[in-house]
Amino acid sequence: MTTMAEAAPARARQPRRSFRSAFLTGLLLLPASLWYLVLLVAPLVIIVLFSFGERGKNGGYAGGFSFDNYIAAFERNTPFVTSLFMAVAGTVLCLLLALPLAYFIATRAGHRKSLLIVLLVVPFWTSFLIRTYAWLTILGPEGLAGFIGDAIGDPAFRILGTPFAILLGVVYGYLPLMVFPIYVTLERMDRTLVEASKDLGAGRWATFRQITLPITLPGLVTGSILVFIPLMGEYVVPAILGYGRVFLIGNQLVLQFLEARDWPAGAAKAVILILIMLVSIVFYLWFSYRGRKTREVSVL
Amino acid sequence: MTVSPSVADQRTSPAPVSGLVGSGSRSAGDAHPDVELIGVTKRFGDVVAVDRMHLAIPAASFTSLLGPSGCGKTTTLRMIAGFEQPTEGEILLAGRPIAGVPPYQRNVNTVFQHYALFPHMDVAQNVGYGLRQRKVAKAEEKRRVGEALELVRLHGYGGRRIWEMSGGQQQRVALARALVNRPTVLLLDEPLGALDLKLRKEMQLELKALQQEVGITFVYVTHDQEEALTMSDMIVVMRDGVIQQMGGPAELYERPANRFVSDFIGTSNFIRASLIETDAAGRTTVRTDNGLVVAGHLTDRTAQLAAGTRVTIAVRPERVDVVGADDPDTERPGWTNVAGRIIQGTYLGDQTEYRIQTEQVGELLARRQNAAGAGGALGAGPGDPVVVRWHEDANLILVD
Amino acid sequence: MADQDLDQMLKRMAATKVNRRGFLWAAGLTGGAAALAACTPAATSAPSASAAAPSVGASAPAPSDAASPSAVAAVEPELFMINWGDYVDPDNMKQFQAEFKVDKFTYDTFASNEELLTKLQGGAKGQYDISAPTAEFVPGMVEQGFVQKIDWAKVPNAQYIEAAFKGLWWDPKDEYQLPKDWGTTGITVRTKIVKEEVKTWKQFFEVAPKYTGRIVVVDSPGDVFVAPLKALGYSLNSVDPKELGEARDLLMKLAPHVLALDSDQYNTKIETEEAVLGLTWTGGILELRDKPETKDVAYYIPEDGTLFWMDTWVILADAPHPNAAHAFLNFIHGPEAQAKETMTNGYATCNSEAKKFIDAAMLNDPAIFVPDDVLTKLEGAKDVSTNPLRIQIWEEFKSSIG
Repeated sequence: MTTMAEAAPARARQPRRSFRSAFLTGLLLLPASLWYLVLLVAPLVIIVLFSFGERGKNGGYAGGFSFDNYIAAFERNTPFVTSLFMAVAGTVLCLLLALPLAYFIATRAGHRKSLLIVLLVVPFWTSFLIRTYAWLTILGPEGLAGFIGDAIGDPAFRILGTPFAILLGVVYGYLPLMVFPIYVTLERMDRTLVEASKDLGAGRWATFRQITLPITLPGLVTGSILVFIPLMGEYVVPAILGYGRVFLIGNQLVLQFLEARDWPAGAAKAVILILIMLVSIVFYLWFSYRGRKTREVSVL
Repeated sequence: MTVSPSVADQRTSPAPVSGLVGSGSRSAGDAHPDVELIGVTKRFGDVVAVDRMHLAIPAASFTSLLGPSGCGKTTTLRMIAGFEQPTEGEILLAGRPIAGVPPYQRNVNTVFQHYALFPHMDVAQNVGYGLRQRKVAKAEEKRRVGEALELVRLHGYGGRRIWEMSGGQQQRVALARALVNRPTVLLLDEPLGALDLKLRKEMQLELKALQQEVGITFVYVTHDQEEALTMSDMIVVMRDGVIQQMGGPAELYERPANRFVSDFIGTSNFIRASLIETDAAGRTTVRTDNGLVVAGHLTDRTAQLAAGTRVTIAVRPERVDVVGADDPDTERPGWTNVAGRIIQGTYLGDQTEYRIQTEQVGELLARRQNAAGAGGALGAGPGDPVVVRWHEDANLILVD
Repeated sequence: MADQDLDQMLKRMAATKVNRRGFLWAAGLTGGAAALAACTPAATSAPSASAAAPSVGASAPAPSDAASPSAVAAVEPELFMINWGDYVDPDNMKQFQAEFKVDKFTYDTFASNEELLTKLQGGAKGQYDISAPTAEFVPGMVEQGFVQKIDWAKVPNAQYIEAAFKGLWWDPKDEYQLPKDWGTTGITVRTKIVKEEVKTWKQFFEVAPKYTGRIVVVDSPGDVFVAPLKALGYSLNSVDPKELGEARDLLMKLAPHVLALDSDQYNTKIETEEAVLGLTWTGGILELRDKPETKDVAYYIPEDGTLFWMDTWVILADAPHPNAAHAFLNFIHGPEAQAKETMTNGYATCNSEAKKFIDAAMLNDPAIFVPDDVLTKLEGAKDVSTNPLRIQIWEEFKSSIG
C-alpha cells in the first residue's frame, strides 16, 4: 500500500504511445477494473440505493425513497459512538506498541530479522476466530484471571468481559497490520539520516521526533488506516472476549440484516459507517500531513 | 610504520573569511592538533579494521585518508565522528579526550557519502537543522543559513525541496548544513563519489577553495588518489588498517615509503633488485636480478639494510625516455640504457604512453611528451626496436 | 498449561452441540472450523404468520396406507441435500444409500436460514433436492416458490407424526414440510450454587439480582424476549407496545446482572461456573448433566410457557431427484431411523413410533420430551423480530449489559 506523500514522483512527459501499446495496457488493466467495478463499486451502489428503500415483506428490499432509515440510525447512535471509541483506542494502542517493535526489527534485530518477521506472520496461518477463542482459555478463570485472582485474594477477579479484554484481543489481532507498514518504511529509510541528525547535534529523542517519525509517517498512516477500518466494523473480539457486553456497529448490522432482515435499515447504517470511516481518514490524513510540502507533480 | 607529518610548512594558512569561523580558539600556533589518534584499534569481531593507529591532524589543514576499500579509512572517520567507539586507544578532539561523548555532543560535522539530506525538509530547513538543535534564535538561524548557502553558492535556493536539486547542488547543501555549525573539524566521507567526472573535478577545486576560505580542518576520506593529490595538504595512505605513509602530495609522489604507496599513488615501473650498498645520504647502489647495476635513492631513511637485502626499484613512467634504436647518445653518465621493442603505443593527447618489452628489466611503461620541442614524434610502432633510458635520479629504492 | 487447555477446549467445542444459530455461524465460519460449532439447531426468531401452540388433535392429511419399506421402489441414484452441518446421523445416511442404491449423496451445509434463502435466491434453485429450514421460514419459501408439495403417498411413515405437530401455523394444511427435530428455549441452573427454585421465567427475574455477573443469556432477541413476555403472561410474539414496554422494564432490570450475551459458548460458561444461571437453548447443556463435575446442571422448560422451535424437512422446487428425495423423507421417518436421529442430535422427535426405540433415560427427560401439560404452554415463533420497537428495546438492552 503506497501512501499519499510518496506516491507522486515527478512524471516524465509521456511519449506518444502506439495504439498497440495502449490496447495492451487496457487489456492488462481490464481484470482489475472489472474486479473493482463488480466487487467494489457495484455493491456500494446497491447499498446506497437500498438505504433509501423499504423492507420487503419477506425481508430484503422493496424499493421506495425516504430518509427514514438514516433518521432512525442517527436517533440511536450509541453503537456508532462505541465503535468509534473502540476503533480509536485500539488504533492508538496498536500504534504505541507497533512503533517500538517495528523499530527494533528494522534496526536492531540483525540476523534475527527474518525470523521475527516470520513469527509475526505465523499467527495468520490459523483462523482469527480460533486464535481469539484461545484467548478465552488464556484469560479465563482457569487461566490468567484465576492466577491474578488467587494472587490478590479476589476470587471474583475477571478479565474476560471487560474493556481490557476487548482491547487486548483487538491489539493482538491487528498489531501485525500496524507493524508491517511501519517496518517497511523504517527498513527503507536511509539509516545515515539518523547519523546525520546526531552528527548535527540532535540527541536520540530529538532525532526520533524530527527525523525518524516524520519519515516513517507514511507507514504510520497506512498502518493506522489498515487497523482503524476493520476495527470500526469489528465485532468478533467484543463478542467473544468482551462477552457480547458492548453493542457495536458490527452487531447492529448483523441485527439489521439477519435478525430484522431489514436490508434498507442495515444499508443505511452501513453507509453511515462508510462515511464515518471516510471522514475519519480524511481528517487523519489532513492532520498527519498538515504543513508538509508534498512533492509537486510536474510534467515540465 | 608511521611517518611524521611534514606538511605544516606546505600549508597555506588562510585568514578565516565569512562568519562561519567564529571561534578564535584555534590559530596557526595552536598547541594541539585538531584531531589526534593515539594507538587506536577498532575490531569488528575478528576483523581488525584499524590497527594501533597514531595520527595527528594539524589544525586548519585539508587532510585526506586515502586507501583502497576496506583499508579502515571510513572506520577511522566514523570513530572521529562518534558513530563507532575505538576498541583500544584514545581520540583527542582539540586536545580533549572524547571517549564516550556521543556524536551529537562532538563539535564535529560530517558530509556523508550520499549526503543524507533530510527528504522531508527544504534546503533551508536542512541547513538550519544543526542550529535548531542548539536552540539558536530564529533570526540568527535565518541569517546563518543564508550565509552558509551563499558560501556554497546556493543563495536563494532555501525554499527548494531536496529532490529538486541536482547532485552537485545536493552536495553543496550537505556542505552548508555541516559548515553552518562552525565545527572544529569537518569530516567528509567520499562526498564526490556520486558525481560524474566533470562535476567531480569542479567540486574538488571548489572544496579546496572553500576549505581555505573557512579555515576549518577538513578530514577527507577517498579512494581516489588523484582527488587526494589535488586537494590535500596532507595525505594519510592506509592499507589493512595500518598507515603506510603520510605527508604532502609531492612527498608521497616523489618519495613513496614503500611499494604499496608507490603503486597506489600514480603509476610506477617496478624492478626487483638486491642491495649492494647505501650511504648516509640515502644514495644506494643495487643490482637487478639480471645483473644490471644502478644507483638510486633509498626512500625510507630509517631503514638499516644489509648488503643483499631484497629491494624494489620504482621508476615513474614520465621519467623514462624512449628513443630510436639507432640513437647515438648512449653513453651519458648516470643514465641507464636498455634495449627493447614496443608492444603498444597509446596516444593520450599531450603525451604518448608506450609499453615496451625489454630483455633486461622486463616490461616497462614510458610516457613521452608530445610537445613539439621535445624531439617530436618518435615515429615507431609495435615491434620496432627502441632504446629506453632513464636517469638514476628517477630510481626510488623501496624496501619490500 | 494453555496448550492443553486449548486443545481440550477445541475438542469440547468440536464434540458438543454448540448452537448453530450462534455467533460462529454468523461470523461466516465454515469448512474445517465448522467442527467447532457443529450441529445444533436452535431457537430462532423469524418470519411469518400466526403462531399457534401445537394443538393436540389437529387434523391433517395423514397418509393412510401403512408403510412397507420392504418393497423398495427404484429411485434416482443421486441425492443433493443442503442442511445444517452434521445434522443427519451418519449411519442413517449409509443405510439409506445402501438400501436405495443412491451412489452419490451430496451433503452441503448452510449456516443460517438466511444463508439458505440467499443461496436459493441466488440461483441454487433446481440444484438441491432436500433441505431442513426452521419452520417459520417455510411460509416465506413457499411464497417465493422454493419448495414443492410433498407427495404423501410416497411418505407413508408420515403417519407417525404426532397430532400435536400437525396443522401448525407455518403449514396449516401440512402440504410442504415434514417435522424433523424440535426443542425449546429455557432456564439453565447450576443447582449446587443457585439454591432457589427457578422453574419459571418469573422466578428467573426474581432470582437474577442475587447472581450479578454470573448470568449468561443467548445473543438472540427472539429468545430473550420470551422471558419477560412469558413472565408477564403475554404471548412471546407480542408486538403490543404496552406489553413490550413492560417487557423492556424487566429486561433493563436484568441487564446489569448479565455476565455475557453468548450463543456459542454459553455451555462452557455454565460448565466452568463462570455463569450459574442461564437463558439458553439445550445445545451443549444436556450433556453437562452426564459429567460428574457438572451433574448439578439442570435445564428447565419454564412452567409459565416458552418458545419451541422446529426444523422441517422440505423438498425443494425443481428438485432434480424427486423420487430419491421422497424416499429419503420416508426412510428418515422410519421409527428406527428416526430414533437414531433423535439420539444422535439430542433433540425431541415428533414421531410417536420412534419413541419405542429411544433410550428410556432420554425419553423420560422432561428437558427433551416435554410432558403433555407443559407442551400446551409452548408457543411457536412468529415473524415479529422485525418489529421496530422490539429492535429498539433489544439494542437498548444490549447497550446496558454489565
